[in-house]
Amino acid sequence: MTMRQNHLSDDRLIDICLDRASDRHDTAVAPTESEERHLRSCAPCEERWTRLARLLADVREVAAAQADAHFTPDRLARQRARVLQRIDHEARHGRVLAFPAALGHVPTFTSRPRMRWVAAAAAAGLFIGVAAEHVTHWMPGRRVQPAAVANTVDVRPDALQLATAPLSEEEFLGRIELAAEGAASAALRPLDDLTPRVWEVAAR
Amino acid sequence: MSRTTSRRTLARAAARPAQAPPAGRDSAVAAEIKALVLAGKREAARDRFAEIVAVHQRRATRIAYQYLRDVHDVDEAVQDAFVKVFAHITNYREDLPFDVWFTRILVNGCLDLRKARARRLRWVLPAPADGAPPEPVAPQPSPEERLLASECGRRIAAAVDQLPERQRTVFTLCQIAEQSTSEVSRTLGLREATVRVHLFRAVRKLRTLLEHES
Repeated sequence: MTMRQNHLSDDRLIDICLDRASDRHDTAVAPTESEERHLRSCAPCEERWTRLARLLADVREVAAAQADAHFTPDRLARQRARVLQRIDHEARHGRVLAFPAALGHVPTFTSRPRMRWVAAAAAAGLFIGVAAEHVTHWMPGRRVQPAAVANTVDVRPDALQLATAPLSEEEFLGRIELAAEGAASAALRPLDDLTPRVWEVAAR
Repeated sequence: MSRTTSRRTLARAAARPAQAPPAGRDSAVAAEIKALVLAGKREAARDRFAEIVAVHQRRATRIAYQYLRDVHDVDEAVQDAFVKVFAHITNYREDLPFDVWFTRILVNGCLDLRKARARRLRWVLPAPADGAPPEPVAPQPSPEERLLASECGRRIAAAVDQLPERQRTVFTLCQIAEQSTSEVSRTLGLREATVRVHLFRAVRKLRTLLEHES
C-alpha cells in the first residue's frame, strides 16, 4: 500500500489517473478497494485527483488549440489538395516502363562452343604478346638507358617557366588579350563585344 | 454536480478521444485502397485515399505540431506522411490498425525533420527576423488563438517542450493523439509496461513543472 498518513501519494494518484484513462486496466496499478473507498471519502485526496485530471485535460486542450490555431479549415483543405496533387504527380513521374518481354534469342557465351574458342585464342594471343614484349625489353642489346630517354625530351627553359612560375594578374590578362586577337577567335568577337570589361564594371 | 459525477466526467474526458477516427473503419478503407492499387485502379484508390486524409489530417497536424512547432515543417511532415503511406499502401498489413501504421510513419518523419533542422541550424545562420515572411493567420483572433496567446497556454507548451524526447513522444501519442498505451507500444515498438513508465514520468514531470511555476 502506498498510502502516506492515510492519504494517497502523488505517484499513486498519477497511476490511478492514467489507469482510468487507459483502455486496458492493469491490475498492478489499478486502485484497490480501500483506495477507491478513500478517494470517495477523502476530500483532500479527491481534490488532488481532480486537479491532476484537470491538468491533463488542460494540456491536451492547449496542445490541440495551438495546432488548430495555425491549421485553419482552409489551410487543411489546401494541405489535402496538395497531398492529392503530389500523389498524382508521383504517379505520372514514377511510372516504371515495362521491360521488353519478347526479346529475341540472346546468344550466351556458354551456349556457343565456337565463341569460347575465339575468346580463348584472344586471351592466349594477349598473354603471348605481353610475354614476348617483356623478354625483348630485358635483352642486353635492346635495353633502353634512362639517360637516352632523358636526352630525347626537349626541355626548353622558357616552357618550364611557363608551366611552373606563377603568373601575375597582368601577365595572365595580357595573354588572354593576345589569344582573343588571334584569327581563330574571330567568330567569338561579337560575343566578346557584348561582354562588359572589368574596368567598365569597376568604374560604375 | 456531485463530486463523483465530476470525477467521472474528467476521467471520461481523459480517456475518450474528442475527434478520433472511428476504430477499424479506416483500416477497412486502407485495405480497400490496397486492393484497388493491386488491381491497377489507381484513380479509384486515390479518391478513396482522400477520405482517409480528411479523417486523419487534423490529428496528424496536432501530433506533428508537438514535435516541430513550426507551421511549414508541420505541413511538410504531414504531407510527406500521407504521400508515403499511399506510395507504400501495398505493404499495409491488415492485422495492424491503419492508425498505428500511419502514426508510426508520421512520427518517424517528424523525428527526421527535427534532426535535419538541427543540422541546418548548426551550419547555416538563421535569417534575420524582420526579413522573414509573415505567417498567414486568420484575420480575427479565434478562441484557439486567444488560448494560445494566454499565459497558461505558453506555460503548458514550455513545460511539454522540456520533457525528454521519449517521454514527450509517449505523452504526445497518449494524451494528444489519444492513442491507448497498447497502440502506442505498437507504434513505437516498445513494451506496454515501458510506455506506461514513460507516461507516468512525463505526467509527474509536467505536474512538477506546472505546479512549481504557478
